[in-house]
Amino acid sequence: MASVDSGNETQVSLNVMPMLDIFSILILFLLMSFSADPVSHDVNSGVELPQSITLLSLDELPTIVISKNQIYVNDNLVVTLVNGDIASMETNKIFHKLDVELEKIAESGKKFVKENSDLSVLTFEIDKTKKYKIIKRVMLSAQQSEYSRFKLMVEKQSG
Amino acid sequence: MSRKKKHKVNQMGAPIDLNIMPFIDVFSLLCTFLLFSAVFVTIGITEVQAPFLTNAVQKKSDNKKDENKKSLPIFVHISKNSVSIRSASPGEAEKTSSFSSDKNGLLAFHQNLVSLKEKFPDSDKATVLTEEDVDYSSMIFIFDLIKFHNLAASEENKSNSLLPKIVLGDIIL
Repeated sequence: MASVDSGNETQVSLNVMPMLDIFSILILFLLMSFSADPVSHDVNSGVELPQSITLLSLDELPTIVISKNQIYVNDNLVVTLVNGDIASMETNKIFHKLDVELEKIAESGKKFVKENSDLSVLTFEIDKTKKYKIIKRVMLSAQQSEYSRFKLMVEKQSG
Repeated sequence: MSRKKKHKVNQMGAPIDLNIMPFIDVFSLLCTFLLFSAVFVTIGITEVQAPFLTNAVQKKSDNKKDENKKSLPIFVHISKNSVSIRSASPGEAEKTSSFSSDKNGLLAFHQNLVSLKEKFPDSDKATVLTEEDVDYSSMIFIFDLIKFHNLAASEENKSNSLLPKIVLGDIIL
C-alpha cells in the first residue's frame, strides 16, 4: 500500500479508507435494494409498464406479453402488430394463432397442475401505450380458454 | 478531522501494514455482482376479472339477504376524455355521474366513489366498461382510483381498499 519516492526517499501512502467507506455504503445499499420478491423477472425490452400504487407483488411469470409491436405467449412470438395496431382485415386470421396457443397452455395446465389449483389466472405484461382494443381482444381469447382472472403487471410507485 | 496514523511495529522495529488489497478485490467483485443483479424497478400486479355468468336461478331467500346487505352495483364507464359512474340505489332511479379525465375531474370521480362506499359499505365490486381507444396506463390509473381509498397510503393498511374487485364488463364472448 505504500510507495517510496525514489528521489527524496519520502514514504507516500495512498489512503484507501474513503474508498472502502464508499464501497461499504454502496454494498449496504445494494443489499438493501436487492429484490425480496418471490419472482424475479426482467421486463421485455419493448414494454414500458404503467405505474400503480398496488403493493401486490408479482408471484408468477407473465404468460402473455403485449409489447409495442408484438404479442408473445410463453415467450413465443404469436402476433406482429403493424404500427402497434392490428390490420382490421386480418384480425380473425391473426388472432386464431393466439387462440390456439392459449388453448394449448390451458390444456397442458390441466394435465400437470394439481386438481385443486386455480388454473383460471393468467398474468399479462402490457406496454403502457397499448390501446384497450388489443388488450380486450387478447383477454377474449384467454376467456375462450377458460381463463377468467387476469393479473396485470405494473410498476410499483415508490414512496 | 485529522487522524493520527498508528503503525504497529514488529520485533525488528519496522512498521507493519495490513494488506487490504484482497479485501478491496472482494468488495469490488461483490459490488459488480450486486450492480448487475439488482432490480431497481419493483414489479407489482393489479388483479381484474372477467364477468362470471351463470344460468342458475337465484333463490328467493338469497334475494332477501341481498336487500338487507348494504351493497350497490356500481358501473364505471371509461372513455378517452371522461369517466362516469352509474349506480342504482335500492328503490331509487339509476343515477349517472360524469367526470372529465383531467386531474380535478378524476379527483371528483374518486370522491364520488368514496361517498358511495360510505353509504353502502358492503360494496366491494365495480364493473368497468372501457372504450377501445383508451390506453393501458389510463386504465391502470383509474383502477387505482377505484381500488384504493387513500391514494397516498399503501395497501398494507387493509382499510385502504375501496372497491377491490374490478370486473371488466366487456370481456364477454
